[in-house]
Amino acid sequence: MTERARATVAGGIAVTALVLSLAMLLFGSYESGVRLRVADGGLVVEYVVRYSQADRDGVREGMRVVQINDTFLFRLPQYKYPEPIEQTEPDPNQAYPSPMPVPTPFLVSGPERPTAVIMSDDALTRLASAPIDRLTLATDRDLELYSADYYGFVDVGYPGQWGFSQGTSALLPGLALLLLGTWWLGSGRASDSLRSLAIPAASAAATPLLVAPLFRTGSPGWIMLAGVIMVVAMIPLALALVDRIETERDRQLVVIGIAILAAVGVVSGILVVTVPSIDSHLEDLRWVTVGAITLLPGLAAAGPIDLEGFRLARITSGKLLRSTELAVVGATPLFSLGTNVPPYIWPIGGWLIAIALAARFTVRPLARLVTRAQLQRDLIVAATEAERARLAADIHDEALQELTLLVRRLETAGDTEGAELGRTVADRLRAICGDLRLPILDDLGVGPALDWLVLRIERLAGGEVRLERTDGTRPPPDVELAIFRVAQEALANAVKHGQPPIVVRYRATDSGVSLSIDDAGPGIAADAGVAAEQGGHFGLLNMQQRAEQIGAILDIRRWPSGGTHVALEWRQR
Amino acid sequence: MTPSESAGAAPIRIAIVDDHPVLREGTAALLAAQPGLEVAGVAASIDEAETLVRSTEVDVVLLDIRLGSDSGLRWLTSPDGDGDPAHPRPAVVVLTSYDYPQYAEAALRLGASGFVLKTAPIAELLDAIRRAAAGGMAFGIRPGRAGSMARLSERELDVIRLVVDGRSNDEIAARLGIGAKTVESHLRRLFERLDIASRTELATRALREGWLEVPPGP
Repeated sequence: MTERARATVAGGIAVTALVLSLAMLLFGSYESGVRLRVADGGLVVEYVVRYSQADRDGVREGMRVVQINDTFLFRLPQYKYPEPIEQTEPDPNQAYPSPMPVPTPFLVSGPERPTAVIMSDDALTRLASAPIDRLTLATDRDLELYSADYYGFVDVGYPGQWGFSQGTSALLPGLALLLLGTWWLGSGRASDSLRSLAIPAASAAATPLLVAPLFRTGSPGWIMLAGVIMVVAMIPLALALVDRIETERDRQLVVIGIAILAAVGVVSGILVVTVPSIDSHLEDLRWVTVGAITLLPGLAAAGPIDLEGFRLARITSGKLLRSTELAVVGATPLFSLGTNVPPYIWPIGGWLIAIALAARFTVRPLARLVTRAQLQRDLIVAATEAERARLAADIHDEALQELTLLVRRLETAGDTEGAELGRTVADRLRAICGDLRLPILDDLGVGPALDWLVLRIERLAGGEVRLERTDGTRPPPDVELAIFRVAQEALANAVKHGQPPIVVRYRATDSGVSLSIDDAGPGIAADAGVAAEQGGHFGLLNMQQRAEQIGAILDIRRWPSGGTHVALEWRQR
Repeated sequence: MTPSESAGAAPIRIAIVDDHPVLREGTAALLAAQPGLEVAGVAASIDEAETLVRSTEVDVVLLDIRLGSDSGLRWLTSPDGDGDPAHPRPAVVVLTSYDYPQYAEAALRLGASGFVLKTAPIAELLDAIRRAAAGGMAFGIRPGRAGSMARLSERELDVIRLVVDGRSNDEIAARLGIGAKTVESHLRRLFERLDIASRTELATRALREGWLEVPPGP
């Protein structure tokens, strides 16, 4: 699914939820699930909607209405228990204290048996058609058995029309979350890396609130639909987060996880409605399950599951910030899902305030610090390279040329020994130039420069060092320089820690460049990056920085059979 | 091949392309003093060099690789100035401070006739100029890495050496004291055995693969 398709689907889901809820509020009403009819001078349950709140609460057809809203249709006997009799001190000589006398309740008011209130049919019809907030029902048997000790009536309280209209209050926060979220993330104010996630993230966070009115209709069909919409709203964000996961294997695992969670979310959404007197734990499980659809890929994208890669200098402070952002984005829908009571502000409001505060006082300053550190690091590298190039040019353009003149003059004057000495000095100066800034790199490109490097390293390696290169084109100068420096560092490491044969592969095409260095040593240790930095060696870090500066991917790992593999991949954008 | 041979013939006209003024003038003075050589002009950049070779007759150009921030090799890769076949680009001898084989390899690949280190003995430079003027090649630094050494007889090496010098079959025959037909058959066998199509290719491979490790002195 492309980024564009995801945004379209996510936006579509949120708008659908909004339109359905608005339509429901404008044209719908609360569905208690009970139909009443006038019978025998009272009201009787004529029909119960299957899976409705009434059905789940145990309302059955044929039950008589004892109370509807504030009106009693039956007068009931009112019992009272007598005050407890004052106890005398227990007789210490008696082995067992005499048993407490059981108090007998006595009738204080009302009839002796439940008695129907006489009402006109018109009044009853009016009551039957009014919206129901509260209902007390009883079977004939319940009425017959009713006594001070027996109460078998069904008492039902509904959110009713009032509760239904309360659902409206969710629409405003929902709409605000959708619009402000899209604007805030999309404008890049939050973070550049989150821009493309704007619509999926805002939709996933807002949809649970936008469908809240549907949940309050009391109608089993709408409640199930709202449950499904909520699950579907999570999918675009979840898939967008999956794209940010680094390794293919992790991506596959997480996609499977998302599929399972979504299935459980839909099923539990249906069970919540269809299973009578459902355990409230299932309801909780459902929120967590649906929330985990985005939380799982968010966390997976935030941190590599593969710890080996984590330790090998692949992690940088900039990446740490992006990780936090992805985890926060993945977690936000969970808080929206938990925001299911009027006025629909908490806990999502608290979460957003917490994010804002954390961003303002912790993440932002940290980000600034990281940016500045990165900038300084880049400046140092650039300044060093410029300085080296300038030194090399100075030596070459002035000293070496004048030395050439001197050598010729000595030669013309017949001083062969002096000329030879001059040539030796010239060789030294040339070597210094080459170490500072290899002229081959600028004049001929990184391919021939690697050729030179490999020949030079072979003398130090004490074994075969081979270069395989296919380079018809030359990448930009900064890329060539970075590739060369990474190769220098990697080859130095291969000579120091590895063993020949060492193979360097370089390939340049119009679409990009790839470089790899493989040696036959024991292979780099998993914690080499950390250990090296603690020991004051920054070779791995340096390679990582060079790669980052040109936007390339650097991969350093150990072959299962031993030997270190360093790979640099750069592509033309 | 030796100065005495060239004497009497028209002098070799040389252009010097180098961005270092003192060294440029020094080289010009050094060459002007040599018999059989004439300095046609000097240039500090590729543009100046282009103008120079178009305005006057030049046989050999001495080209520095480092020209400020520009690379002299760029001139070799650029198409021949006016493209007039009657007025071909003169032979180019790269004269540089850098002794990297990668430069020699690039120069050879791009069609330079010679490659001489600036600090090399003057005799080496003069030799390279004369060979280039005669249509031969002279590389003071062996271009590229050692390849598979071809199995060659002493006589074949003599022939190849003279081909690299830019000699014709008749000249080779006279020099080696054998018949022109024999030279021809030597070459034909070499072409067949080494899968080579021309004298230039033979010279190029001989230099690149180091068949003639040390160019013979006079």
